[in-house]
Amino acid sequence: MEGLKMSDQKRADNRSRFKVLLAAILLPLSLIVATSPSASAEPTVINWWAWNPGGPVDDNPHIKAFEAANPDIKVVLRNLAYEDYKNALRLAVTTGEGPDVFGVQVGPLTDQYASSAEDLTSYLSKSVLGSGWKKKMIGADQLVSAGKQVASPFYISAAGLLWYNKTLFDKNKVTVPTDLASFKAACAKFKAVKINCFIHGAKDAWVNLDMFQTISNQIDPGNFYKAIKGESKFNTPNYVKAFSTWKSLFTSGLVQKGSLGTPQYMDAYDSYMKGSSAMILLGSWQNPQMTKTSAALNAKTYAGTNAGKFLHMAVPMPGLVAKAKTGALFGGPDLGWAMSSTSKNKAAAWKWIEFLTIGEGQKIMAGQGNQPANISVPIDTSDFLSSSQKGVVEMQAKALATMIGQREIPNADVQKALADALSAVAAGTQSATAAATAVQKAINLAYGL
Amino acid sequence: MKRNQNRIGLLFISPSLILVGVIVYFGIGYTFWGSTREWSDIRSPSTSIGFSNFEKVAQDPIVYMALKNILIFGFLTVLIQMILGFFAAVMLSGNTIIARNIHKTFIFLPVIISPAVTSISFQQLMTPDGEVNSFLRLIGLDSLQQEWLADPKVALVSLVIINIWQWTSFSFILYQAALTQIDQETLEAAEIDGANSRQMMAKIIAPQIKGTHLTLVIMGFIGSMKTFELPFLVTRGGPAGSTEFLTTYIFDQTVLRFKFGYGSTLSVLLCLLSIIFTVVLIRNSRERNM
Amino acid sequence: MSSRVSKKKRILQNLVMIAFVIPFIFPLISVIARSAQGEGFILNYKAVFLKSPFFQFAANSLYIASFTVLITFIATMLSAYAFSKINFKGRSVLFILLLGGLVLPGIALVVPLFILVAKLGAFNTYWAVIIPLAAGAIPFNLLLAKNYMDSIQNEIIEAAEIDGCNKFQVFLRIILPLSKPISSVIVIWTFLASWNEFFLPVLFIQDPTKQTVSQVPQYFSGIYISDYPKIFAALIMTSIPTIILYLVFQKNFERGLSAGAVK
Repeated sequence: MEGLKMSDQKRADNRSRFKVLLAAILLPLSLIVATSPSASAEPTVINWWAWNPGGPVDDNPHIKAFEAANPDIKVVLRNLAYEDYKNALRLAVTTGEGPDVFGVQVGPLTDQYASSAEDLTSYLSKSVLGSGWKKKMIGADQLVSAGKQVASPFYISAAGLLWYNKTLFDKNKVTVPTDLASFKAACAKFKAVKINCFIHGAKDAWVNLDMFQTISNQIDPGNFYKAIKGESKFNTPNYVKAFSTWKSLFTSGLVQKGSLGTPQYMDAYDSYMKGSSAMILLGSWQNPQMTKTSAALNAKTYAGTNAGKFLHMAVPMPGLVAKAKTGALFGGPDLGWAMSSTSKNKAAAWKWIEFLTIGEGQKIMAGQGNQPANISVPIDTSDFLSSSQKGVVEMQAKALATMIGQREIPNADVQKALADALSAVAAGTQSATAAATAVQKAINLAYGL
Repeated sequence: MKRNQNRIGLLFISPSLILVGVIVYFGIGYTFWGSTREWSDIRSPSTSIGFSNFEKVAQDPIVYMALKNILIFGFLTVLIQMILGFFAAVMLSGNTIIARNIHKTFIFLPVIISPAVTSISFQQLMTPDGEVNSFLRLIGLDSLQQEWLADPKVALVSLVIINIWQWTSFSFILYQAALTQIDQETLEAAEIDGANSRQMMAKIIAPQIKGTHLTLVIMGFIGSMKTFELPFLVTRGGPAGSTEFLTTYIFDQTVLRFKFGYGSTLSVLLCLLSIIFTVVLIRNSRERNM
Repeated sequence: MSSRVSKKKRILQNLVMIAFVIPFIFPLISVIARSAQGEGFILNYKAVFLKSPFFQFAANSLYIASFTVLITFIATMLSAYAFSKINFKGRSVLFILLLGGLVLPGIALVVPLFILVAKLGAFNTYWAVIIPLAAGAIPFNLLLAKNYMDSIQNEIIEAAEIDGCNKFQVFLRIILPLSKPISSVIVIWTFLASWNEFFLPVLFIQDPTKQTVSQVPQYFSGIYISDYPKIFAALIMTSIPTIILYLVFQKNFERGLSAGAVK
């Protein structure tokens, strides 16, 4: 009797315990459910990831214009130094917690992130550009991988340009070099006034690759782009000559001491922007530095120097070999914007990409002196500091129309092999001949030759 | 009673066992499995390729360079740290030095600072016109100036220097502890008997600190093999691979190039090396103690 | 060693010692000097204090460190006691197995950690950092703690057991109080390792509001782009908490470390 009573009591206890437990689970759940729908009253947040040096994080002109036109969407920009960017992006895109929109470059990055990105083909053909969108955007095909349109091209840029500080040149009465001899003469003059002549961040592989392509194009224009895919031979005298020329930049002192330990971004770049160095190898993506807006920004970023007062101009790299054929630029889409396939806000993410690559964003880029990917938007030089700088854009326009090749090396392993070879040759640990052979070996391996 | 002890013992160690078991041992097992696969994306399936990754490792020149770098780095850092640590411990053990605590604090401070902070700081201090070269000029050693991080012949040594700066005090503390264990009376008796410093060092002190030597060598080498932040943040394995370590190579292959299979193989190599080395050293010391 | 050292020798030794310590102090001074360049000392530190989420990051790091220390401490002390004082089957084998974790570099486990975190949906959570950190901290601390506890005399324990204490009570009432020196070592060492951890947060925490103090330089170079003086100011701010912690616990720490390390 007692036992039964106890178990009744126990059952009652259990039941009430169960009720409490149930309440404990349901209550927080209901709170979550109750609060979620109200999230639609808050703006959708798009996480946008890019690398340095990109647009400013605060007061970004693209974000400002977009949010004004789309008050229900908020864009949050995250800028990382390029190497850190690659590290951070990898795991982030495989979860739903990473960026909604992220930048990729042509080549290995596009391939590596093809599986993590949405195919933008249908989005693009349904946009204002219509089904013929491919012809209306420059370089879209360079951002295709595994049959997908991995990213939408943002703007076009060409590398192989020698940027120089016109203000420093004028002040010290130095003439802009046109060949190796005049280059060395200019350097001697700058050395006398304790200004570093040419700054090069050899720690960053990409700028070494740019310089090598520049040299190679001066020896045999355009052959590089065939050889790097195995359609022409790399272990030939021309490339050995290119490697030797590359090495001589270091041994002759044209490139500053300690270059192998200096990254192009930000250290070498800073040195140039601050006026500690007179020349640097970059590309047309530097065009915005000719605008008044950038000058004002530089004055702030490099407070304590004359950074805000400099006039920057560019010429194709002067001939570094005998009988050099100069003037060719190489490049393509500087970067494209991709949409993460795990994004929770794909419609909003597309709106942002569309803004950047087709709509108003293109006009903003044009206003900075960049060549927009959208063919119908012309470059706008109204904000340039000086009319002499407009000539730079005109020079580029011709070269951009006839770009000699794709800047990014298509195969990641070949790219690494060439980058390693350039590093070794510059360091003096590998001969020019051995370097050419090593790269050929990598090309053979990559293309099954 | 015994059975009770077994149960309780296991219960007490269960949190550690679970944590270390899952993270470390499951991790190793998974890595071993991963090393036999061709695998380039977290979400796409991998294909089995047996041990061909291991063949690739055996033929990879970067692996050999990394191994060479680890050995040189390990040897130099361990040796120099032990010498400096011992020297400081001896100097600061008596009372000939004034303001001993201040000395000790300054030597110990680097240990507390995060390796990431140290790496970034030294990267800037070791540029050709950075403070390190300026300091050398200041004390008249101009000729010793280097392109610390840009010259492939010097870059590894630069990392050794930074590592020594950071970790010497660890050796120092262990030696200090060992020295305090030595009976002061024995030393004083020996002194009265006419022994000079060198004899005291050899006959009394040296034997007592053998255990510390071994501990430091083992921990030092293991530490070298584990070093990541230093080569990664200061030189990224460059220039021209002169500071490439297995750890940075693993990171490069796995996180940057998505070669999970090959990255796992490299990890297996690193684990094997660490284990073999530790076992050899411990066995060596046991034999000697016998 | 003895007080019969001549005055000349004394001065020489002091000078040598100072020369020895200078290379250790020098980089610290350089970094502080650098943080005063650019826009100036005050503006730089003001930017770090006011305009950056530095304190948010520090709070995040504190959160991570606290949990890591808690978990590591509990797991370590319990196991150390068992390995030292309880005779159970498989004791030595399991001990060596646990110590095996000492030998492993974290980066070698990057692939399984990736997978585990992705599958558990733990990306951008603190646990993705806390758990691996604790697992990595246990072996070393276990070694120290067990060595220390070995020196606790068994008679005390036996007396307590005769009085009717079970193993857990012995642990709480006798072992823990007697282990205060090694406890402070474990707490401080684990806190340090956690606060200074760079690799795990870089991999697993990308949400800008959840980042740790070791990611401050990365964050700053994204915002200030090239303003190195501010980055250096941030680096110094990052180091101050650990320096203060050390200075406060200096004696305890040294005592405990030497007690646990000398076999």
